[in-house]
Formats: sequence, structure tokens, C-alpha cells
Amino acid sequence: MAASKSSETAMLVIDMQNDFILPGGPMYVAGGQSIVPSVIRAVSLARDRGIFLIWVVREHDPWGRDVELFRRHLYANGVGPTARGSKGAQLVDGLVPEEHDYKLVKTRFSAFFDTHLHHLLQTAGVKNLVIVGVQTPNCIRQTVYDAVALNYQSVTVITDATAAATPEVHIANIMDMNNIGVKTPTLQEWCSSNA
Amino acid sequence: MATAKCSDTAMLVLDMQNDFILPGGPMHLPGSQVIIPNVSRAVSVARERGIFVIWVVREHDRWGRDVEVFRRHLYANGDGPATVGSKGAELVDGLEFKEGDYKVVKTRFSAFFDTHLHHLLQTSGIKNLVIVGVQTPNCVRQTIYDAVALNYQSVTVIADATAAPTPEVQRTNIEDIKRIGVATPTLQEWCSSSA
Repeated sequence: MAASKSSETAMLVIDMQNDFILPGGPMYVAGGQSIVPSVIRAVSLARDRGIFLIWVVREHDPWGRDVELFRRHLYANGVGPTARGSKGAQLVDGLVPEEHDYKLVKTRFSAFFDTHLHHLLQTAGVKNLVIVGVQTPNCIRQTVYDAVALNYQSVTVITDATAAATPEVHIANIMDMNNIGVKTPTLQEWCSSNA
Repeated sequence: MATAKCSDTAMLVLDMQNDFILPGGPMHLPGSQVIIPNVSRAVSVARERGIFVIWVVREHDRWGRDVEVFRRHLYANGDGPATVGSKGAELVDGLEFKEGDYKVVKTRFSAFFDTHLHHLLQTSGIKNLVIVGVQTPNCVRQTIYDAVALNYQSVTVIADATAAPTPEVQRTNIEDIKRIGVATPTLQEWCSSSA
């Protein structure tokens, strides 16, 4: 039944933070702003269905001590993208966590890498994942591939509620994910389905 | 000195096994046979430079109990791709394990996923990785992204010693990989460098 399946499902909203979505910073993802309404709608529908909502965000040390090596130069002055407590690390306008949502902080692309996400989901009885957010070739893809490696029964990426720097990069990555058994519906298709 | 630098370096040769390279099976990667001479040469140069050569292979339970969920149907008859002890799991002709090399068995895309590879490399003082093998969007990419997440100082993929289902998939994946600080030389360029 749709209801029991939803109780086994979690939605991961990945990196919908000012520093990735708003123009001006070094981590800006060009396709990000246009998906904000779709992410808002996906989150709203997930809540209606009783799906476990998890806000996955990057929060870094201001000096970059927990940042990937190839990006550490961005933190040389003690202030860099998504530094803990900064405005850049906050969720963009329009996305508002509610009381029973969960916030997960990560420091690498994958939401599973060096986090307790897998244990959290397992203990909550989650078998199915729905993923939205940015950016398709990095955080989205790495989370998706790790979810497949960890044997989640179904992994879904909502194609128009995720984004990359260009549509070409986005589509190429969606196709690669599709090839490893990941479902890739549009928001409309996902809304119409029971998943 | 070249020797000292190379003692910090390991080459990971990914999934160069009969079931992935030779035509006929469900996991066959079309066109991948052409890279065998390049992989062979890369390994040969690595050995000359004192680079630690690690053969990473998939070896699965014949009933698929350790296979990703989306591929388990291939093991329904107790006989599937890259099964432990099968001919399909062996390295293709032209590639040979030599004394001093190391073999790591994995069950997922990434060579780091649920294996002891990271500890092995750390204990050996390895800071730099050079990657060859198949297939670019899955095992190669996942291993590379995990290596970056794990803070290896330099990660290199020898682009023409890897292969994907189509040239387009190869191109888009190499471009994505390049954007996260990974070097993507040709075999010629890598052989001419001191890395």
C-alpha cells in the first residue's frame, strides 16, 4: 500500500544552500535557482505522504580543515563556502525545515560518506530513497551510487528537482544513474506515482 | 627523486576481467578490449618506477548474495558474472599478476567500498593514486571520487587506459572527473611525466 511504503521511504534534500544556489560565490551551480520551486513542491508532497524528510547540508570549518584538498584554497582567509554558522550555509529562501524533519551535516560529496546517515535510515526502517537538490555530477551522484552500493531497494532521483552547471552535464549524469537501476522520473511523474 | 616519489604512489587496475572485457556475457563492455595494450603498458611503466601495483577485481558469491540489488537477477541460476573461481573472474590475457603486486577483491563499484584498501594504502605510505581499467562511469569514477573524499594528495586517471560503453559517456565522465581536481592524462602524457 502507498502508506506503508511511504513509511519506508526517505527524501534527501541535498545542498540547497545559499552558497550553491545564489550567484556570486565560487561554488555557484548555475542550474540551481530554477529548481527551487520544484524542490519546494517535492518536499511538500513528501510531507503529505509521511515520507521521512532529511535536509543534507555541507557545513565546514572556516579554515577548511574538513574540506576536500582541491578546494582548500577557498578557505585560506578563514572564511569560505558553507562555513559553519555563515549565511552561505543556510538553506535558500523558500525551503523551511519543520519539526519532524532531520538535518544531516556532511563534509564530502556523498551524504553517506563519514556520516551516520546509513545507520539513521536503517534504524528508521527506510528501504527507499528519493533524492532532490544539487549538484547532479557530484553530491547527487555520489549519494545515489552509495545508496545503490548499500542495497537500498529503490533509489529515485527527481530529474527536474536536481541540477548541474549545464543541462548537458545534468542529462549525461542522469543517464549514467539510470543505467545502474536508479529511477529518474520528472516531478510530475513522481507526484502521480505512489512512490 | 623519481624513485622516492613513486614509493608514495599506487596504481589501481580496476576490473580487467574476462566477464567485463570479452564479448558474450551480460556484463561485457563493448569496445573495452582495445585498452588492454594500454593497461599492460601502464602497469609495466608503473613497475619500472617502483609504483605499488594493485589489481582490484570483483569476485562474487555464485548466488549473488553479495551483488548489488539491481544485478541479482543475473545470479538466479547459481552462476553469474565474476563469480569466485570462475574463468570470467580471471584477468584477461595480456595482464598478469606478478610477485610484489597486490590483489584487492571488491563487491561494489568503488575499490574503497567495504574493502581494506584505504588502510592498506595508508599503512604503505601511499599519497598518490593512478587509476586504469573499466568502466569509466561506474567503478573507475566511484573509486576516483572516494579517493578525493579520502584526501589522497593526487589522483590521476589515464584516460585512454579506461573505457566506457560509448565515446560520449567516456567524454562526459572524464570531464566531470577533471572538474574535481583529478588529472586525466593520456598514456603517452603520463609516461612522459615523472608522476
